[in-house]
Amino acid sequence: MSVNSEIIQAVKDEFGEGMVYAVDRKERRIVLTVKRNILKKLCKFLKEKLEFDHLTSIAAVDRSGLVNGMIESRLLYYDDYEMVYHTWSHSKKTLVEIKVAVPKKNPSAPSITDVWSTANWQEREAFDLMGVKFSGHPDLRRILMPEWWKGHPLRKDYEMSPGKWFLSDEDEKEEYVLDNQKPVFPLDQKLAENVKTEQISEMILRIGPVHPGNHGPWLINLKLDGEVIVDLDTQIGYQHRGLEKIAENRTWTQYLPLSDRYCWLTALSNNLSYVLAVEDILDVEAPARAQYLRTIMLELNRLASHLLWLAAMGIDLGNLSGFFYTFREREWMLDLLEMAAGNRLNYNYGRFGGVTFDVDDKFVKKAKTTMKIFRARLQEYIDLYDGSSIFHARTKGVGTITAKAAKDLGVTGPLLRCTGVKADARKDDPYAAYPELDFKIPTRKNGDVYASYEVRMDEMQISSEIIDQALDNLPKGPVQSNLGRIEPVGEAISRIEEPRGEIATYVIGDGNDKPYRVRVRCAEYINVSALGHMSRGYKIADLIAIIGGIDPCLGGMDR
Amino acid sequence: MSADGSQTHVIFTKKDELLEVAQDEKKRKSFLAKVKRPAEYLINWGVKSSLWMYAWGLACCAIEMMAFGAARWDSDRYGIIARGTPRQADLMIVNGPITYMMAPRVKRLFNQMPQPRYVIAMGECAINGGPFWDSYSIVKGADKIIPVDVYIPGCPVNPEALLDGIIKLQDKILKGELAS
Repeated sequence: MSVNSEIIQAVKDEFGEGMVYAVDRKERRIVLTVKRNILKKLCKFLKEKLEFDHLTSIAAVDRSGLVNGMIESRLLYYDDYEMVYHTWSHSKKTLVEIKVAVPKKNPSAPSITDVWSTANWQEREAFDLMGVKFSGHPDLRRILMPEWWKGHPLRKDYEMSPGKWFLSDEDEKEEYVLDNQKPVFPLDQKLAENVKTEQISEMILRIGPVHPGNHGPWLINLKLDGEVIVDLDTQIGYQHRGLEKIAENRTWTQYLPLSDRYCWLTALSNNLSYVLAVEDILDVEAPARAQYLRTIMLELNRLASHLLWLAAMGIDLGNLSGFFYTFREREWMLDLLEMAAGNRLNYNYGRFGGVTFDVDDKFVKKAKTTMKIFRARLQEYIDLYDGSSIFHARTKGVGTITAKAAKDLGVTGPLLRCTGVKADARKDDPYAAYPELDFKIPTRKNGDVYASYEVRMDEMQISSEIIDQALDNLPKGPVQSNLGRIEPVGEAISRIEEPRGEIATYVIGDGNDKPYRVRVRCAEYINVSALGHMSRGYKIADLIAIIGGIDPCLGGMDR
Repeated sequence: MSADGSQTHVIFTKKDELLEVAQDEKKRKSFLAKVKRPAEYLINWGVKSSLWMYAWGLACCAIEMMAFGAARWDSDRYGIIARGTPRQADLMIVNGPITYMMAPRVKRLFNQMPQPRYVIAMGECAINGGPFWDSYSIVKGADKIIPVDVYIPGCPVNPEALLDGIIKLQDKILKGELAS
């Protein structure tokens, strides 16, 4: 009996026939269509009994415009809105999709924040952009759009207004007031009372929206006791470009370059996660050479991204020379990527059923030389960073997170692996040419900033080895399969291990030339939501190191 | 002075060339004959040679701005030094899309810069919204909020293109053509 049928059997035994069970074509995910009232019970059951410890994404879908592409099972509990939950089991390595219909008149669903804490920000996002209310949510307010915004942009009947073209002085004043309004701290009442009884002097400090330590525009509200962080509330959305809505106004192919721009440091992963989801719907696979090229470019992109993280970490912790050195190697990676894809940051490299351009022998030769020199240089960086006692003092034992908390908060990537959990989509949920390559997943146990630094340094070493391997085994053949005009019907989710963690793209196609819905779960967004947990009890100066360890990218956070 | 009355370019390239011009009567006369308002010209020359840029980031172009400041392009060669606060900066490079939420902050940051101040719209997003032109949350160009001196197209802008844009801005400063 396969894992999937075991899970279905277990759920059937518990809940009976009150839901619709299905398994997708590739047996990669189980789809459960359920009624609203048993959602929370089902989630609890999945987490506690079946070890589904990671909530990947929560997607809200407005189905009122859906004409084609109705999957039969959905007809049973049909309504205008739908919440789609994806949960992943680190131990069973399988995906469960839960679908819940929500009426349009009074869109509300039970909150599952107390099952997986990571649902907090995702539900807030669904409330902000789709207007679905969550009963029992501790802190339901807008997250990506400003408080004064009217309407919920992802609804199909939302009118795209031209917006305000000019800012009058009064508008500005309004914004200033918003900037200075009292922040809502997520800390629960009990802790707040403790603070009161211990007579701790309270101070509120705002970092941002524009601050050199923030790596981009976002606001951190700190509640301080002297220098110690008591509580923390973040305000994001300063870079929210509404890419999920833009997707609905572009054709499938036109959206390819835009999918690069979720996060400019991991453009290839973003692009490929969209491509893989669409390929899943179309049931096509890229030729072998294209799969290898994807792997090479993904790893080059990972190296470039990690080098930028190292540079930023250097600046944050007072090691400015680190910035100049790491950018030297980063330029090499960008040179290689430019050679293959034609752009330095946003590559637009993926195509449905292949990649844009082939590479020549010159590229292979150059890449090999670069990797050889890079590995020597990597050792220099380890000496440069690790040899400094200041670096140790500022990162060891700072921002510690346990494996249990990290899983609960949905943290992925190096931040999860530094707590000892061996979770990597490249191994667990393989894509591109990864199943054919031999590589290890580095882990650490401590879960602090230093451990995440070590994991990333190991990852760079392993990435360069993967590139070498893939270059050696690069098969010959075409890099694209001609699909012609595509009008996919159906839905799929893809998971990719980007440098910062897991990016999942959930795509629905209704047989039109445009995507019906594209929902992206970016690793940065979820990792930053754990910032509060990681920084409580530490000092302000540690916060900068913790943010550096999270490696936030505003594009991925706000989309 | 040229025939149409506009300023001719006199660019000091060598070390101590300005001192030479000041001391040598012949050179001084030729310089004064070429330049309409010598004092203003010299001030502009000083300003354009020490543009301090505000180091902040909005989107992809910010990464290219970092690359511009790093080893390969080395912005310091042009007297461009990154500052962490607008109060110490002359040059603001708008390096990404401006959302309605961000717009008042951008304006405030611009207002915090001391004069003379210059703005470069770097990339398509800062020019007119770029690939996000039909989004519900994007201001269609930085010039809807603040005066812009130089526009650099590209998505994202290469460091070379940014360098070209800055040289164009230096040209403008020397000529005394200012947006703000």
